[in-house]
This record gives sequence, C-alpha cells and structure tokens, in this order.
Amino acid sequence: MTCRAAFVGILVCLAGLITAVPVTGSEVVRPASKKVILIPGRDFRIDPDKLFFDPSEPPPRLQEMPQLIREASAVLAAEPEIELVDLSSGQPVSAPQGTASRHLVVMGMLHLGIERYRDIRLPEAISSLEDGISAALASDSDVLVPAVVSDLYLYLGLSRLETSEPDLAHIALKQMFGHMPERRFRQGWFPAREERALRAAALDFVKSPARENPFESTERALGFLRERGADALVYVFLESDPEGGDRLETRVFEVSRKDAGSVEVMRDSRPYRGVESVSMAISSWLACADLPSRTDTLKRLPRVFLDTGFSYSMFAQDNSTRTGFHNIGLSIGTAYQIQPGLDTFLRLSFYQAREDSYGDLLDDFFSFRASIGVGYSAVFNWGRVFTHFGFEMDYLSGFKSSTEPRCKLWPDDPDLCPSSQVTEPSFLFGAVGLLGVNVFVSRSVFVMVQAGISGYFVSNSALVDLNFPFVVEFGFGYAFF
Amino acid sequence: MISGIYQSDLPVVIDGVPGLDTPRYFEMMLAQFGPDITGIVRVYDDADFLVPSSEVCPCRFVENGKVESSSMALSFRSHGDCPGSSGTPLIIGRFTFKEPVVVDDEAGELLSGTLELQDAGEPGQVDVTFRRARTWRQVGEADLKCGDPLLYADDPPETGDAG
Repeated sequence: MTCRAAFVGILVCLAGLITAVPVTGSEVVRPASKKVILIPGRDFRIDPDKLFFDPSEPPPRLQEMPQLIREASAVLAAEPEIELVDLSSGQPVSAPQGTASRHLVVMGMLHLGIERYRDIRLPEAISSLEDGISAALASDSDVLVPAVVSDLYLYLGLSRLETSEPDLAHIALKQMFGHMPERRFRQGWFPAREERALRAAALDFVKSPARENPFESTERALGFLRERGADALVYVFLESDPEGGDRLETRVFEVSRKDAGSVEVMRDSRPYRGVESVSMAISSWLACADLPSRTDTLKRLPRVFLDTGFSYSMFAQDNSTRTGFHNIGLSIGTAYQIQPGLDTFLRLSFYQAREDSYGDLLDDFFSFRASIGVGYSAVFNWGRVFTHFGFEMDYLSGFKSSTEPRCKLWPDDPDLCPSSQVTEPSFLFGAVGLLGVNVFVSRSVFVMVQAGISGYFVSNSALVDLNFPFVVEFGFGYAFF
Repeated sequence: MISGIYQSDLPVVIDGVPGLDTPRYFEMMLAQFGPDITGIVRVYDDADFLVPSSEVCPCRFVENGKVESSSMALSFRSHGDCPGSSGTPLIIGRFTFKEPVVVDDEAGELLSGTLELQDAGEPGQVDVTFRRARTWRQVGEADLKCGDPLLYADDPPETGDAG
C-alpha cells in the first residue's frame, strides 16, 4: 500500500506540474509599447522691450509653456501603447550611465563660476563656467535642465563683459536666451552696460531663427534616445509668427525604423490657440505613429515570382528518331502565391531542335511549349521550393522525321520518300509535373533551377512517336512582394 | 563519313548483266546518315566520267546501304532504276574503307571491295576500288538528280537498256 500510495503521489505531482505549465504560460503579457521622452519646452516669444520688469511689481510668470507641457504629457500618457518618460520638469533627473553625477558637476561648476565672478577672479570664473557648459553638454543638461545652462551662459556673458570681451559676451548672452528664452530681469539689477548687452542679445536672438533641435544635431538626438532606450522624443516650443500671432511648433525625433542609425524628425507647425493646439499636435502625431499594434509584424514573403532562363528538353520516348534529338531554348515563367503552400503558375518555352546524330530529323525546327497549373510551394527566407502540376501544350513547328535514308536525301520527292515514311506531329497536349527551387541572391533576385517531365495524351499524330519530354531549366528571376 | 562522290579507278565488268558485261566506269554518289547509306550509282563509258553510258540505264539508286565500323555494304538494281527496269536482280557491293587522318584531306580515301550480281556467288565477284572524287560539300543539286531527263520521257524504254 505504501508503494502504491507513493506511486499515486508521484502521478499527482506530475499531473500538477503538467497542469501548472499552462498557468505559467497564460500569464498576462505586457503589451509592447513605444517609449517616448518628453523634454522641457521653450517659449521663444521674447519682447526685448519687456525684458526688464519694474522692481516694484512681482516678476512676470510665464505659465503657458508649463501648461502646454502638462497637456502634452497628458495626451501622451493617455495612449496605452506609449510608455511616457516625462523629463519636462526641468529638474535634474536620474539618468543612465552616471549622467546624474555629471549634472552635479555642472551645478558645482556653476556655483564655482558665480563665486569667482563675485570675487572678481574673472579668468577663473570663465574657466569654471566654460567647463560647466562642457559638462552640461556631455550630460544633456542643456536639454533636460536648460535653466542651469542658461545661468552658466549668463555669468559667462557677464564675466566676458568685465574682461572687455563684448563680442564673446554677446554670444554667451544669446546662448542664455537660447536655453531659457522665458528669462526676464529686474530693471536696475544690472549696471547699464550689462542691461544694454542683455537687450542687444535679446534683439539678436529674436531675429535669429528658433532652435527647433535642442540637441543641435540629429546625431546627438539619436545618442540621447539610444542612451535611454527610447523610441522617440517630443519637443514643443512657441514662437512669434512674423505675420502676427503665435505659432506652436512640435518636433518629434524618432529612431528610424528603416535605418536604426538615423533619426526621423516629424515637424508640426500650427497657429497657437491655447492648450488645444498642443493636444491636436500630439494627437496628430499619435494618429500616424508606428505604434506596436499598428506595426506589421507579419513576415512578408514574396507573392509573385517571375523568372527566365535557359531550357533544355528531350523526349524520353522518341520513335521518330533513333537517337533522339535535343531541344535548347529559353523559357519564361511566373508563379503567383495564392496562399501559403499553394501557388499557380504559367510557363512558356521556346526551343530550337538540334539535328540528331543519324539525321533522322529532316529539318531543324522550333517548338513552343506552354504549361499552366497549380502546385505546392514552400516559401522561405532563403528562397522557395515548389512542385508544379498542370496542363501542357507543345507546338512543333515543321517537325518532320524519317529513318528512311532516301527521305533524308530526297524529302520532297514522293516517289523516293512516301509520306507514310515521314512522321509529322505538330500538336501535343498533356500533363506536366515540375520540381524546382529558387534561391535568393538578394532580397528579390533569385536563381532558379527546375526539372520536370510531361506526358502527352492528345496529338495530331501517333502519340507513340513522340512523348514524355523531360526538361531542365536554369535561370534568374525576380520576386515581387 | 562516307559521303561524297566516289569513282572507280578501273573499268568494271560484271558478267551476266546486259550492258555491264563490257568495261564501264562506275560512279557512286553516296550520302551517309548514321549507319545508313543512300545515293545514286551512275555508269559511264569513259575514264573521265564525262559520257554517261548510252547502253544502260545510267541511274541506279542505292538500296539497303549500311555502314558498320570500317566496312560498308550496299546494293543497286542491275538494270537500273529507269522506268520499267525495277525488279531486276541486285548488284551487291561490299567495301572496306579507311577514315582520312585529316577530315578535309579526303583525296586519298578509298573504298576497296567487290561487286557481285545477286546470287552469283564468289566466282562472280569483281574486285573494285573507288576513290573519292568530291566531298559532300562539293556535291550539288544536279548530283542528286538521277539520270538524263530524256530517259523519263513519255515513252520510257521497256528494259534497263537505254535506247
């Protein structure tokens, strides 16, 4: 009893294991999603006349861009196939490969630069600020925390002014606006020279085109996406329309599906009419985006095969000539894949008969062979294997043969060569079977080899004279998907 | 390939065949198709093969010509194939030959053998040697025609003897 119980126990355990497998396999699989990063937006609508605000009033707070970014984030988050990574807060974020620690370096260099600027140790301040900018570019802080980088450029510009380098100061202050165009200043906070420089930089910046790529190059954008394992990045900015009004610009940098080594940029430009504008822009992109559910994951196999090549044929049963005769020619064929495993084909061949060694063929002639039918074909990535079966018609143009030597020397003399001694089949009709293989040498071009045999059951002459031609073909073809 | 025009080196006499029992020169236009031989045998009075024999039907089609290895056998009607001369006994020729060393150098190609009247037996055999006078490429349309058109007039001769 003990052994039986153990046996039953083992069986129960095995049954439990077997039934447990489907349970494990039926776990809910998380649907595939597209990882999209949202970065801080920018408001390039600068009025140089309103760059400085009255110190008696509270500083102006530009709230539109945060609202737009929130709306963009909401629209993206609502799409179930989007995995949103919202980095639009403008705050330092944890990032891969130690870039977060690099951001600390940026902050450190900024503070160091400010301290040295205030200590009037200008060369050291410039050096620290420039190092900070380099570190910011290396850690993508210029994209993710643009306010910090803007500060770096501000103090760099101020330092350059102190060192009597107004040109370099102008460039730095313009860069400051590029990273944080919303920046405004308390009137009287800076000396008059600095205010003039800031206003001049703002004027120059306004006349310069808006920066539609915060990375400055698509290569850097691609590196950013790769580093974070993301598929796309959404960037929104506002700018003044030269014709009046404002425009909302949306850019989506997306890793190309065709070439993973490049980035495709989607540009959307529309009049700015509040948060609905960004909602429409993002929805517009989502409507056409390559979301996982819209991606055609089916492996496409070619449907139509077209080939041409050399063809050789000989009749296995030939009572018209004693040694048989060769047919050499060209063929062209096509096959259409009706469904996996089943195809239909059409094949046309033109042959020129070669004189047999005994000269039993009274004349050279050409023949035309057409076959049509269906078959089984297995299509693989490397090519196709097929068997074809169908009907075949063979038209022999000017076929005349005789084993009587006088008919070879005097074929047109009825006294020396009676017609009874000449075989003249011209039409043969029957069935054909072919076996072949196509091997792709490129995506669409393939090498074709096939062989087959036919059997004729209708003819205008005695079938026993000429039947069962076999064929061997070699050529090239093109597959249409 | 035994194809071309062969001419006898010496005059030939075949006893028992009217018209051929006196010295005649034989010319054979032969065409080989695999193992088969066909052609025309013509009879001349002169060694230059210019004057067709006026006493016999000059046209004889080769019948049952066969080639095997380096030997050849053929036959033709003793009285020729002029109208009215069919059904006459056959003259049988048996020859051996040697393929030329160079294909185009066929001047020295010889057919050596015998001619004999059907059922005449060994005593009736005549030794003959034919030498190729023209290759097949030199054979023209006229060579494929059998005899003088006059022989095919509305009133053909009753026998193989040309009138």
